[in-house]
Amino acid sequence: MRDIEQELRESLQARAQDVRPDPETWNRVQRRIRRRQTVRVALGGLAAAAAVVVAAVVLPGVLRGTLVDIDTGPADQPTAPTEPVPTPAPDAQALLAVADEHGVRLLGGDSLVPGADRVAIRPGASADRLTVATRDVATCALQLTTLVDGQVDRTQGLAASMTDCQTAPVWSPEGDALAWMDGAEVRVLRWAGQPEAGDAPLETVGWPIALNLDDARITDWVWTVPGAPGGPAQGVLYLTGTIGDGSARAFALQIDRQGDGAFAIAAEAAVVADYDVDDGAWRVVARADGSKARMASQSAGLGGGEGVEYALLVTDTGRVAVAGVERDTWAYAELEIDAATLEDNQAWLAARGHEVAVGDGVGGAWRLTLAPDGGFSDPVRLDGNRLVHGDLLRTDGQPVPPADLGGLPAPVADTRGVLVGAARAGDVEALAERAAEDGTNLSFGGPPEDLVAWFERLAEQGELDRLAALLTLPHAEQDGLFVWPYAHARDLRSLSSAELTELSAVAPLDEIEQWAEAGTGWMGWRVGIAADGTWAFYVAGD
Amino acid sequence: MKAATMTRSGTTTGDFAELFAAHHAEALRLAYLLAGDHHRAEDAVSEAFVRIYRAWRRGSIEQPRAYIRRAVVNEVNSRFRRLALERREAVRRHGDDRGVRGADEQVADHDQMFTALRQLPERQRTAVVLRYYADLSEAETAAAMGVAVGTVKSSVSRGLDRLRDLVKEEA
Repeated sequence: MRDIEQELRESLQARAQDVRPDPETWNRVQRRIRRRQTVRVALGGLAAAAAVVVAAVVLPGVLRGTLVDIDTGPADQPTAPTEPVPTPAPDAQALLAVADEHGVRLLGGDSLVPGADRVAIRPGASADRLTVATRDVATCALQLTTLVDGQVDRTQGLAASMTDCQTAPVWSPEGDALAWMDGAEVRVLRWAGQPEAGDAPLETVGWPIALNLDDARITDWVWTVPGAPGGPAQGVLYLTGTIGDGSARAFALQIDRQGDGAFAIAAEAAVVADYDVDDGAWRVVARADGSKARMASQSAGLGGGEGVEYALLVTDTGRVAVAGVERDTWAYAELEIDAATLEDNQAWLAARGHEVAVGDGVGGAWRLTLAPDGGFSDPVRLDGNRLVHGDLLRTDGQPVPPADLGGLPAPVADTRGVLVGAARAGDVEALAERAAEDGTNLSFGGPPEDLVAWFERLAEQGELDRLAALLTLPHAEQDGLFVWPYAHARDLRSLSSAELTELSAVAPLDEIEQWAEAGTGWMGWRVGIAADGTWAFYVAGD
Repeated sequence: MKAATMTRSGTTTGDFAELFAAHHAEALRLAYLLAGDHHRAEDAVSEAFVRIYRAWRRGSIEQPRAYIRRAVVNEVNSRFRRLALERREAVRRHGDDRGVRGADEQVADHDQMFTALRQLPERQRTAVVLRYYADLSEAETAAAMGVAVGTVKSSVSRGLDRLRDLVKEEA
């Protein structure tokens, strides 16, 4: 028998020789290049935030397995602040680590991580002890460097990317994992130990996602249902990029941390904002955690944290503006950036809480603060040697807190996180154990004899997925309890069409309409958690 | 003389045309062996060169041949993944479509080895093509795929085992 390797070589060579290049391909390449450049120029004609459209709330529970079509809803202009923005604590002022032509340093400092062009500061850093993930644009390599008192203490090579050589990775909120885009894959590198102490990462995992994006980058990682460190949690990775027709979009991709600390990412992403080239409108949607903040984005930049979102916009004068959004409060400031410098998406935005830094990617950088009255402070031009990228850290050394959960007390948020994690994992034992501990009311006809068997039956019926979806809806407060869904505390006839659509993820729409018509109130599955975190009930029916 | 347009960085599209002309055929053949379809290969190579153009303008391509090879591998494979995901989603929405073969699957192919190659999982197929067609070393293959050398070794080994079985079955 012939050697398989020789046969393979001959077969491949023979096949390859049959391939005749199409002379039209070069023209096709030129057309595509020109078309995308044209689209970039067209973006400069956009009236910034001129037509903001509020869309339906995008829920993490809806993200799994579904591409969400945005209900564009009625047109809406950015409004004046309706609530004061909390004053940043004095010790939470951010510092800026910058990458310039020489490497990474703390702004105003001398320490350098040479050969780095992009920087992401590990949460929990302080000015004295700083761990940064950096990317060398020339080699695509990722590196982890710890700086102690301004001196490089430790350096560790992490990974090389195949296709994304231009963007910084994004840290998990706890700083135990890094995520970045590699072509059509999301890659996540995680640690069980301390990265800054030189512990090697556990694994790098990649997930192909169902998006055909150019210039895809992960811009933010937030937990919408945070859990204990290393335990089950649910969150969102925000992505930006341009799609095939050249329009820019932001996406939310569901990320789960499982019980063993490993991550899982859904293949499908939901659109959270897009730019429509045809009608010149920014479409702004609610945050994926269900809160009502609005967010706008183009591929130029997107960032946030602590319940505030920021985006770079291009004005009708061809200048670049930064918009800050905190629930219904908008802030807007124009910068001295020529939109033409946004080519190749090199502009960057870094934000922690109310501090924002923006750079045009070719030398200019500005810093702003979201003020208590909702406006931005005057942009301060940063001095530097052609700053090309930056990231912020807090001087108090505390990790950035998780996203605002809509006013849930911490014990309630913890219980919700545990329940969502267990439901998603199908961990019937954990649910049964928790229900037994808390004396959870699971039935109006008396408690089930065998709790595990009871939850197993629900799992077989797909109800555990619904339980998780239920707990990612907005809540209501009723009789001293936090209840899901909010419809349980509402007259169902008052529900808007957007709310009905939202609730259809956890109960059939025709049944909800029947309940509304009959005036019975919400008869579907519902969950109640007491302020101390006790799981009070999980029932359905009358 | 080629028409050349000045770009911001001072380089010209004429320079890029030379890069394209020098590497297009090689890139296309690699894409074809990975994709198994001429039209799909041409489209993937076109897209890869659009991406390469951006990096080339920034002056960040030091080894064009390796860079182009890597870009082509990525483009072809990411398209395969999207196709697989689209099909999975279509099945979820519209029911099982087994028995319905897309145009890309209807490659009339009497070459047992090539037919078998197309049945390998993406990673094994890529590793095998880069090793036995492009004649790359294990380290070069690993660099082109963005994986560890050990992954290349195991992918090639499993790929060859599977090819042996498939060819034997056909025979």
